[in-house]
Amino acid sequence: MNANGDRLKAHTLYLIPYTSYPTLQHPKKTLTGRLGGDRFYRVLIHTMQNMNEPRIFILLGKKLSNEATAEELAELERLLEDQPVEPYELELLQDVWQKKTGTDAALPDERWEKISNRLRDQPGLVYEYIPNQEKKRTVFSAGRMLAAASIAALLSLTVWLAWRRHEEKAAPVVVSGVKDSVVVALNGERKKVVLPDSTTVHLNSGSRLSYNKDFGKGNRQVWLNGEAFFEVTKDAAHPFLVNTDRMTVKVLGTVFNVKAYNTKEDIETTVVEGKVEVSLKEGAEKKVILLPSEKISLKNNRLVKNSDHPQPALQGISYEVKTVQPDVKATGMPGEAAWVKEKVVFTDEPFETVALKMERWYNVHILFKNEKMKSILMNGDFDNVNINEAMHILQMMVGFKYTIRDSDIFIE
Amino acid sequence: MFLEKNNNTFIAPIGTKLSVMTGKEIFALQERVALFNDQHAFRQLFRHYYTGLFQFAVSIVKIKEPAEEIVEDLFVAIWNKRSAITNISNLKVYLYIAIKNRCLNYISRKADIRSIDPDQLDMTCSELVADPESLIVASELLQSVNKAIRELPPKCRVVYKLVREDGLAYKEVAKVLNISQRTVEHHIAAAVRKIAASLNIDFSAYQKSSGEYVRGER
Repeated sequence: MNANGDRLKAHTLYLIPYTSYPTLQHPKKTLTGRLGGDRFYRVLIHTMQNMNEPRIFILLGKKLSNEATAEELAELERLLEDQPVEPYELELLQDVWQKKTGTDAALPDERWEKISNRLRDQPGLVYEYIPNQEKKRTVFSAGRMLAAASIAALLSLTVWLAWRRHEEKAAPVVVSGVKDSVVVALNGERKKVVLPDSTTVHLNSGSRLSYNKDFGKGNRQVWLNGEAFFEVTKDAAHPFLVNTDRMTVKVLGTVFNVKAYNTKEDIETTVVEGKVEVSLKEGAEKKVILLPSEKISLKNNRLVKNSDHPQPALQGISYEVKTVQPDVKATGMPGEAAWVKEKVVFTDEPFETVALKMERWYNVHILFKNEKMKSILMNGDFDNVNINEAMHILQMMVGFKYTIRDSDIFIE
Repeated sequence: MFLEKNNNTFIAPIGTKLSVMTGKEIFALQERVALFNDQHAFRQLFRHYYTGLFQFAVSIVKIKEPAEEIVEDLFVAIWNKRSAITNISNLKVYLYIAIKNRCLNYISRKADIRSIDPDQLDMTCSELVADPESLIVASELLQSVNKAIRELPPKCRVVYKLVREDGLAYKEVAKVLNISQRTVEHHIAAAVRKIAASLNIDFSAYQKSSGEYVRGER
């Protein structure tokens, strides 16, 4: 082999057990040798096919596949100048490349039917996980989960964690670092959690709250992804901190709502009682004090402060603080917190974000067949109605057609 | 196998076109699966990747039924370990490599092969069809292109399909097929050259000036 050393470098080598050799059909060349002990191998040398495509096609291929660098595109331009090729012909080539193929889009849907049965064998299991202790591997059936969930309201502390049954090693659960305790409210469910300091947290659908096991020992700090309503126990010596991706809320003892979903929706903090301090994480850290019935909201990666307290934009961050009206008759709380009373409220919200809310609340999937519907503004509230009734109410308000198939809702 | 007979009709939403998703959108779906056991999100991932993965699996195992089963098994396995799905930074490459490995495992139960022989891969590309937005109106031209694609050498067609239809980057194809990025470039170039020829696009000036290129097939 040494004699051929140089030559071999230029080729791809496949070491294939002798016995399987007959199954390969295109040996370009073979060598037989002895490699370690008595095991015989044939070395198959795949001479690379004569692959010297002209530069212009390499560059065209890269351009069509969005792989070309600026230099390569310039080079291609130069090469094309010498060609009798019409711009129209290049467009044609690009058209072929970008053309939708006659792929059967229904195929994945057909197959999903088959696979979804197998997924249903594994319902959204919820496991308890407490690290550095003996592993708890209790598997809850759906029925037991419901029972457990109702007991949970009575227990002073419930710790839930999405946990894997098949996982042998205790692995951390995703996102924003490892926290010791995580409570998750799945789509379609709301949860009430009482923290060790007896602070009550209502967790809205599709939300996750986490905290470390030293919570209450010198710190009161939680992490939130989603929406939660806090009734914080007073403890002037230990401020209570709610961390979200883009703002941190610091309080001593008060009642407020934080909404920080990872979607198009605004990031909001609304105060019901007491006083909170909101720190914005964008740019230079900026602190805003909020009083009862005030709401701060952050839009499209920026914070916008509203007309009631016009404030200049700071380092490119503009933000909005609004006064909100508590609904005295119904809940005694602003609409932002009405969900705690099992009420879905929206005020001048585009259908698109209303749909996001509904998807989480009812655990459904809303698909817009008509994109124009997304921007229609809606006002309204639902009280303990099911998804069919809710869709009917929306339909009466703004007028659109919809169809419900299982948990998919199509808006036309 | 694990499949139950199912009579409750789960009607899939019939989307006419599969949407294009950015890496960020894909990852947001992964997060929804990991955090909220969101089957809708999982289903969107399934819809997005199924066809390409299935065709890729067929190209290795050659038979439709085991290929279907391999793709489904992979998705079930991912669902069962869904809390770890956010550890996957490039889901597309992960899926194609997982399919490749599962297919090789399947084949190796029959024969003792531990590596893909790229010469043995073959893939059928979807036919181009006429649509109102298209520049190509003449059906002969469309057929001529389809014929050119059908007649690409197998290895070249696999690379072409992964890049053009399944939207893999050159680097990703190289990783999945264990070939060099340069080889990918040349396969794509060959495909472009032949498609251009089928459209009667004349690159003859280049041919004359370039010694390395000889008209006609090797």
